[in-house]
Amino acid sequence: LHLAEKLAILSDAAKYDASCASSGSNVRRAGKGVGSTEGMGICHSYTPDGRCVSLLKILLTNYCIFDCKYCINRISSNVRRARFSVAEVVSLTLEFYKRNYIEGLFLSSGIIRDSDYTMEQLVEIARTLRVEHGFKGYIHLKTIPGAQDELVQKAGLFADRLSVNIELPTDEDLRELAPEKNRPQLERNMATVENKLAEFRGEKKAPIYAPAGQSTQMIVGATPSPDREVLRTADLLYRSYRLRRVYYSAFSPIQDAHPGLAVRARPPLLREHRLYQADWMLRFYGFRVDEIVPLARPELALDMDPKSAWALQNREFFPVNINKAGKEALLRVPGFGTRTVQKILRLRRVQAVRLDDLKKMRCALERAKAFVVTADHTPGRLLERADLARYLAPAGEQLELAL
Amino acid sequence: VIRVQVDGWEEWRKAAGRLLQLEQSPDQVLWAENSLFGEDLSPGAEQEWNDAEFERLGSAAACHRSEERWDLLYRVLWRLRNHEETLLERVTDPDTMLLVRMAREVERDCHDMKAYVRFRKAGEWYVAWHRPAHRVVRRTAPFFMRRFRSMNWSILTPDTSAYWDGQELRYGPGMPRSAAPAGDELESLWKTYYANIFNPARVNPRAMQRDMPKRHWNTLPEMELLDDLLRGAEKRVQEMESANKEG
Repeated sequence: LHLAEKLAILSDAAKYDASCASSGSNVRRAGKGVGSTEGMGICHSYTPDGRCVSLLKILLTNYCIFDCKYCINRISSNVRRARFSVAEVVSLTLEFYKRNYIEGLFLSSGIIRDSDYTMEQLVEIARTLRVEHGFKGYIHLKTIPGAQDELVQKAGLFADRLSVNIELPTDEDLRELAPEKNRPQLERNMATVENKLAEFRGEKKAPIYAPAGQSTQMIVGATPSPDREVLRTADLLYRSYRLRRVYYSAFSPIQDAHPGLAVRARPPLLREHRLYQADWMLRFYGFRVDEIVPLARPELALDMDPKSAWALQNREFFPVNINKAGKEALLRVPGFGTRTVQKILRLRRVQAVRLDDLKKMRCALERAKAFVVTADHTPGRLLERADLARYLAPAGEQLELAL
Repeated sequence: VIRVQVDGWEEWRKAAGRLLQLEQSPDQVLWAENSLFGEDLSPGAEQEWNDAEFERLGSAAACHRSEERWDLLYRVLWRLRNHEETLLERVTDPDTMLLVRMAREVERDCHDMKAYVRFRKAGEWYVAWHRPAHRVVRRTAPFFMRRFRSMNWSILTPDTSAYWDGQELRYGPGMPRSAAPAGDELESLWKTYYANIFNPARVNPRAMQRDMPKRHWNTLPEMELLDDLLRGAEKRVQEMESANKEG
């Protein structure tokens, strides 16, 4: 196969990984080659699906001995197969980088021979880039389920970010669709990396080790597990392994789908979007999973954002006086983001905040209005109205994915 | 009225210090980029001022193409120094909002330059032609120096060009697009990558346009594929779905 054909096959096979982030790494590596990471990720292009292209995201190979039913590269699928050599991946990365197409490499792989062998190959590519070529750009490596701890740990010496996909919300889902994988095995990779990160944390002479931490991805909509299970798993992973990000990937139809998977039409993009919003509430707005998706309502509403949905169910929390309330309460107001809250906190130190000020801050005032008291406004009976929801689900909300 | 002619943040900074010393209020200053009448600000003692946040916002806004930027900067500085110390906290004040907006637009343009410069290799040099929205070349070129220290590169733009030969970062006059190479053999591989990393089942051109300003599309080689990819997307998904149903 020509290099271009391999590239076509092995980037097509990699597109089901949602992450293309190159942020969170702000380290100065030694080396004479090209490259820098200065903390902020850069998207060098966007594809027509609205996704950012920041990294050369490819598989080393799409041969795989596993048979995960949702995956286009599973052993029982009859897609075309290809495999890059180490030198080909290294050269593509460097040449793309030098033309400023990319921030670095995101390398994953089907599992060939066994987990250890595959992990070794990935580490070898990262090592070659760093050591032989002095490459200082961003590297994201997948850790391979079932690989030895030592190999998984070694990856962190060369990579900026490590990840292993948790794949599905529950262990039962895995049993059903990914028979060679299980939760303890996947979490073991995360724990192994987190242990090493913890060992180096606060140590002055520690080597540069996975400075952009860990992330993972969960496929949504391939099994009936509700949003509550999705978010409980995400929350557990955030807290147990200090993950930087959980990515949600709406199950996407693949070529040659496994007969065991019900034929699904389009990926449930709106659900994915709501999960990102809920994830944001967990990480930045101080919500607990049980507040967002209580046992009695295990699915996120699709017709409005999850913060508005919570506000509607918890009207006694409101109105919030924006001139007096604490930051935590302000963050719970529908239509306010962290930036709006920062502006409010800043402005109210020097003057009383009025409705017109909120308007100038360009927050979603229509949504917020029913829930706040300002120097010149109170929601009055608006909060008690039965049709309050009408104000919260503005027509034509844009589907803007949070990736 | 005093006429003042400045080019760039450092010059503005000096002039503003002098004007403060002379207690010249903003409505008595006429800022100009290239005045036919020259300038009539006499050299002399300058008032020292130090405000980290104003410095950060001002040095960014100074790169903005808006003609009112010098006037705005001096108005804000004047107010900060004359009993409105908390002006920058008044995030809804019209002057503060305009300053913040200009600074944000410049930062965005710096970011776009980091993202959308595309080098083409010519011998041992890497050359790009880029069209920034604001005057951000000098503000952004050091980033390229840090990143591509081991390469020789040039970034040509209509106003200013930047050159790095492995030793020294130099600036020169603006250059036309025709001064840069017309292609690079790597571009066909890059386009192959772009076409295949895209998932036709998730097509969302609106999100794409929001994040990638159209002004840069004609210097991005992969954008040549856009129409074909969008046209083909629906067909690819339908084919996949019907194949799966039959299978």
